[in-house]
Amino acid sequence: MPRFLSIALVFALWEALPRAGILPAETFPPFSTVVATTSQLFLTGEMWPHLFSSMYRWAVAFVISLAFGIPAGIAMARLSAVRNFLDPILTATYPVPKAALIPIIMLWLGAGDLSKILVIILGTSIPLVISAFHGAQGVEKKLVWSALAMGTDRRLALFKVILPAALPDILSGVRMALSVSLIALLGSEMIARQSGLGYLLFSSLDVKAYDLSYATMLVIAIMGFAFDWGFVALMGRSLVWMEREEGSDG
Amino acid sequence: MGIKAEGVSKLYETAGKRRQVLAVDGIDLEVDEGEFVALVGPSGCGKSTFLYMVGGFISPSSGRILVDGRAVTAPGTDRGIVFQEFALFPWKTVLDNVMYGLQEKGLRRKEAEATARRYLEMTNLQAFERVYPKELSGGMKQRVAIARTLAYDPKVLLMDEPFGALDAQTRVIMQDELLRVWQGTQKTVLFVTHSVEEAIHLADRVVIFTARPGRIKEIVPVDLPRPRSREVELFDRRYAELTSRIWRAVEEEVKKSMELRAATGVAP
Repeated sequence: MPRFLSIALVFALWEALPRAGILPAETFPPFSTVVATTSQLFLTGEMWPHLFSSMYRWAVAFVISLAFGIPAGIAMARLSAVRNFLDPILTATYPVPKAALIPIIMLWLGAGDLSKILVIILGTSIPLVISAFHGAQGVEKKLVWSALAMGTDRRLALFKVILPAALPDILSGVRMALSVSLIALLGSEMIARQSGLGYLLFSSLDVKAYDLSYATMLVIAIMGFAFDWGFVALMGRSLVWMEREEGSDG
Repeated sequence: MGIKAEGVSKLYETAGKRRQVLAVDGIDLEVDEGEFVALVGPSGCGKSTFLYMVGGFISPSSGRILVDGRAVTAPGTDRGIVFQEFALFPWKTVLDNVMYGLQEKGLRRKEAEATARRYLEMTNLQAFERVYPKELSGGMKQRVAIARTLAYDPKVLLMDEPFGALDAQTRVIMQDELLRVWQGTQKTVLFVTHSVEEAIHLADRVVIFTARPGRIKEIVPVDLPRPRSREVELFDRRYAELTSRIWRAVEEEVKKSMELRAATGVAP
């Protein structure tokens, strides 16, 4: 079966079922209508400010999460003091949906961008910390010993051995964090509504402007797909060495 | 560069000292410059632990180790190590792996490349310099690991069952390659193995370790002429006598170690 046939099938059904009257076109507008609405939103300029404010929050939060999460995870693996401090916090907060914290965070920081960015950071950091922790902890001791025997300074071994050796795990954490960050972004914009894609999506649902809701969802889906595709395209080429080894040794 | 161990012991303790394991107990050993010494003994007897202490990766609980007259406190470029697990850097190509130690030494890229290529040629890997370790077979990986260690020219070679993961034919070839290199450079070699045949084929002396805690049970000189050929070894009486003598001593300790394990339920 050719790739993408399944997706083409979904789009075809999405077009055909409402047109045939099998699904109500009011709550389930056909695909072509949604595409038309979406391009309309971009052409009239209505979409841009929402897209920009979402992207702004997301980018700030994601960069901060990377800068905090990866070093924190590596530190957890190398220093037992950091591990003993962070591990209980991580275990306790991991199962809590971060969007549930928004009302409290809003109470402290107001309903503006700051609260939303903090919520996204909370959600995004966790997979980054965990993957960096597992990656750094799984580094074969003898890899570090080999480097030390060849004259590598003990402190520099962190950058010369542990970081590159942990990279496959860290990158799969980044990939997971990409999708988690989108969910947290929409959640924060849904609860504290001012602007952004989450705002657009849930406000349009409230006023029963369903074609607008679908159009927003389409934009969000394309964004998620673009993130993942961009990540794979960016990483795939530079990390040829990472693909799974064929033997069991290694 | 000679090696001297004086009363070297290693005691492992769990937190709170609830469990203590004496891994190595009072090792006295002198290895001359340029000598090839093999360490044999049952698995878990502490022969690798002793090797890691010579490398400076772990420190003795008591006693001390001198390399070239200086006490070992940390790893150093005078001692190169080769592990059974190869421990190649998977994110570096074969060439970059072999260049690593040279660049750490401060060589410029061009010089490091030239030296690394020489060692890749010596180990018949020149066609694979752009390849990543994951694409190599076990024997090739081990050749890279050996080339990587030889390239930055440590005076002492510490080898931790380097051929243990290889198939029989590859192992034989690698042993002879190692001997050729050693005879060319006269490095001091400390070679851990569980194979008595390998120890006798390679070493000037074979050190037999007891079951845990690892002590030196016996040191057997291998006074067979070099180069040693396998054809001669097959029919030489002295070789057969040595093999059976060392094998009996090792077997005794292997049995003790198995009884110990059965009694305590602790895997090595």
